[in-house]
Amino acid sequence: MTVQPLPPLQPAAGSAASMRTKTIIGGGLIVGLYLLPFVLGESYLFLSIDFLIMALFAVSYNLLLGQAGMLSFGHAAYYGLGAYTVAILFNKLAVPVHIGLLASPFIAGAIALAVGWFAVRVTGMYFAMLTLAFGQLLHTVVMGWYGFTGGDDGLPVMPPDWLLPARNYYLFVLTVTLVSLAALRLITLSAFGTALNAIRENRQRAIFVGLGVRNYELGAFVIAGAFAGIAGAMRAPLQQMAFPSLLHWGQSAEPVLMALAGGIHTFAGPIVGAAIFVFTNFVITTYSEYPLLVFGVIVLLVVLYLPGGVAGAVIDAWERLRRRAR
Amino acid sequence: MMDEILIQALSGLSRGMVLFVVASGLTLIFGTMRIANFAHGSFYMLAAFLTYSVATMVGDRTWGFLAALCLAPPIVASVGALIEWGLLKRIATRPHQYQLILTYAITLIVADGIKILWGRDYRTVARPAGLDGAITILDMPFPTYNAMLILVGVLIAVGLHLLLTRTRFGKTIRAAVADGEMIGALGVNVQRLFTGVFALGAGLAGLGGVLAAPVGSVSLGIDTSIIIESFAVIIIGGVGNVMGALIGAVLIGVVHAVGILFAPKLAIAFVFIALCAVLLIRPQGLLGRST
Amino acid sequence: MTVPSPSPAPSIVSVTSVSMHFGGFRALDDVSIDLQRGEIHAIIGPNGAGKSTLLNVISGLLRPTRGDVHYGDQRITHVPPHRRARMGIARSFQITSIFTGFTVHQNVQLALLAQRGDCRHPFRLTGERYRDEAHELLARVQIAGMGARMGGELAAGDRKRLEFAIALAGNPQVLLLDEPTAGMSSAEREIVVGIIRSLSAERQISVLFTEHDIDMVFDNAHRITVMHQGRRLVQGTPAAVRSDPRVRDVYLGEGDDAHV
Repeated sequence: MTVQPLPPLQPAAGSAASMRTKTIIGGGLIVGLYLLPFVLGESYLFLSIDFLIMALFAVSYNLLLGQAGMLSFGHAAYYGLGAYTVAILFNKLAVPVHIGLLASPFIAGAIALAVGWFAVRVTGMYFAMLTLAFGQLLHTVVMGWYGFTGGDDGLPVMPPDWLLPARNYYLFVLTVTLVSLAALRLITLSAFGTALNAIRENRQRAIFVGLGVRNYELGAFVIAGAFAGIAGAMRAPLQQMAFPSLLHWGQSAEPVLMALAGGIHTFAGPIVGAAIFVFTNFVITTYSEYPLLVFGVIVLLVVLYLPGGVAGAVIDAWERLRRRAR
Repeated sequence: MMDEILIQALSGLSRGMVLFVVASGLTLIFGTMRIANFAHGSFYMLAAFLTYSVATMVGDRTWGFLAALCLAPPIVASVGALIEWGLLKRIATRPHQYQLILTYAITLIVADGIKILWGRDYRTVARPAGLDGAITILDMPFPTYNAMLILVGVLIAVGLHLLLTRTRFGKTIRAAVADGEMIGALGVNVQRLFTGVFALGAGLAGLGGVLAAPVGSVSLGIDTSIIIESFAVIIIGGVGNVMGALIGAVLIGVVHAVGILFAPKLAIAFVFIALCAVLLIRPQGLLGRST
Repeated sequence: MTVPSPSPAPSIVSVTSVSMHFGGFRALDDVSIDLQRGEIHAIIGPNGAGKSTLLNVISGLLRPTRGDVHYGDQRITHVPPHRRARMGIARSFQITSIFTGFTVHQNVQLALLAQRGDCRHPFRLTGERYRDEAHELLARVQIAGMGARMGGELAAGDRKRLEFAIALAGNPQVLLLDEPTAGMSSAEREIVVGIIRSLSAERQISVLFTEHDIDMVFDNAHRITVMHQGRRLVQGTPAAVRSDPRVRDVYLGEGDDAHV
């Protein structure tokens, strides 16, 4: 055999030059995000916090849908549980919210483990129904357990004084989100993440290369739930309230919509989707008396006419423009 | 106490029958088209509001209810057929998540649509004359209407069974449930079959909505509770299996009703314990076929 | 030509009195079979004889209604399929099963990661891990030049070879092959048969395969099991099987076409 350099295994890895470009763009973006509160007004800052939380929520979800091909429709349950972890620790044990946040992935992850243990016994649409049903169960429990959760009145959450200014809370959320996204990025690129891709691609073959498929799906479900918990834990202090509606299935639809809007096959897709979602939602709720109707119609149109999601359509249009320019 | 539990179980049975009517439609849609139709609860809610309007327009509570019984299910079935034909058909080959999201978007549109047409208030529908009283069971009063529901549920179960076993349409549905890929090869017009099944399923959801209107409240939000319970029913019963749906619905209805006696706010948890037990023993559902 | 049988060796897989019922249908009825270390063993029989079902029972895809499966001296009847794969029982499918959305290299890399337990670690980066070993395995099945292609782009014969490479990544003791040459050109067949023979000869891997091509079976198998209607009809060397009148009844009784 002739001695030839072996081709790289990961075709997406690309050249060193493109890696450098990526690093520069990414670094610039992060610096920009940290400078944002010194430029933006307070109301837009709240919108940006909303975006960061939703971005983490959506990326955590996409570990399931995009990477493992698991169509969960109950992801809000773990998001809401994260919020309630902070709220309950704050109300019952006077734990400050930034400390309570550390507990949220463990509580959300533990409940995700219990639910996932049942849910991974089925696949596909069945899995969607089952995760939805369990999500609504958790919602009902939070609604009904008045003494512990405050029922439909919700639980008040007060951030400590140093987190009260919007700018400080923004910086706090930005840091937690970036660290979480970095961890999720590592997971998607890990051998574990590759195994999830393999399961999505060909479940039977994955089994016969020696992967205990259900255990991997359960692992993905727990990790996704834990990071959704962190997102929820940042939501409660923002609203200064934890509401049962955070666990509601309407909330569960949101990460699905964000992932689909931005594209499920890239890591950044759901982040773009979160930006689209938060912005659209803001506009609709500001200007329309019937936001659900408008939102539903938009989703219908996107599903029917933009199969690659909004981001996919924008990229297509951009490519077409570039080709025409040449 | 024993009597109380028994009456409560009977009341759960009548609620279970409504759930059966709705869930049987969902299980047929799921079994044939492999779509978990979130909009199913919306069909139910829409029919309940239509019942209110028809009953109000007619004025007489007996004739009003009967008119609603004749009008609302076909209207909702037509809406279902339109949705299948105009929307779902166009994305039939796309991954599951698009179909789920599409039916989810319909739930949003219907919810706000009802808000626009009927407002946000609770509505009530009077029970027809002769069914508004109570009969005595074990020296305890039991609403006549609920007794009628149990009877009607059984009749619908028998009717559906006959439809599925005796008619060409029904046999085709069963074949599609058993093997979705075969059905196209057999020369069946799959497009028409799907539209027909979706209309039938929506019509059953509508029928459930009419039957439930005089017992529950007619209000926004009833779509969510019925869809979750219907999903639980078809997981317990097995996909595409109408008799499984009957067993699952009765089980859930009774467990829920009896559970309320012990833990009023957390009764739904008992339903999920039953659901988990079924999943552990038979993941494909009680009457489902393993694949 | 026929291959001389190796000297009697201890069996590595033994199936004892296995029955497999689907509802009222008996796909397997009291079947026993043993696979010896390093042998090439063929299962033949008409359609519906239970050949694939038997492979599925050994690989763990199906759990038998009755009877037992042993691997060495371990009873594995209730061991789940992924664990059997990691114990050294690899398999290929009648419809070649690979990861079509992965590159050819990534297919083998994933198999190596899975076999070595790397996949359990959510922070162990995949990157270029096992690149050289993946390349060697692809060279072993003579598709080293296709590493960068997507699995879904390969022709039938190349797909099958990739599936072999995936199986070999698990460093198997036993290879279960369900119709390994189905749907191939004769040139592709020869390559695949050559790979099977060399694996058995060089690595002492035991091969159990089903096959419709009778000539291929008699040319390459050390031993043959003939199945009919879920039962084991005959087991023995190609010469013994060829001369057995019952085999003739099964095959020739259904018309003169032995290549069905």
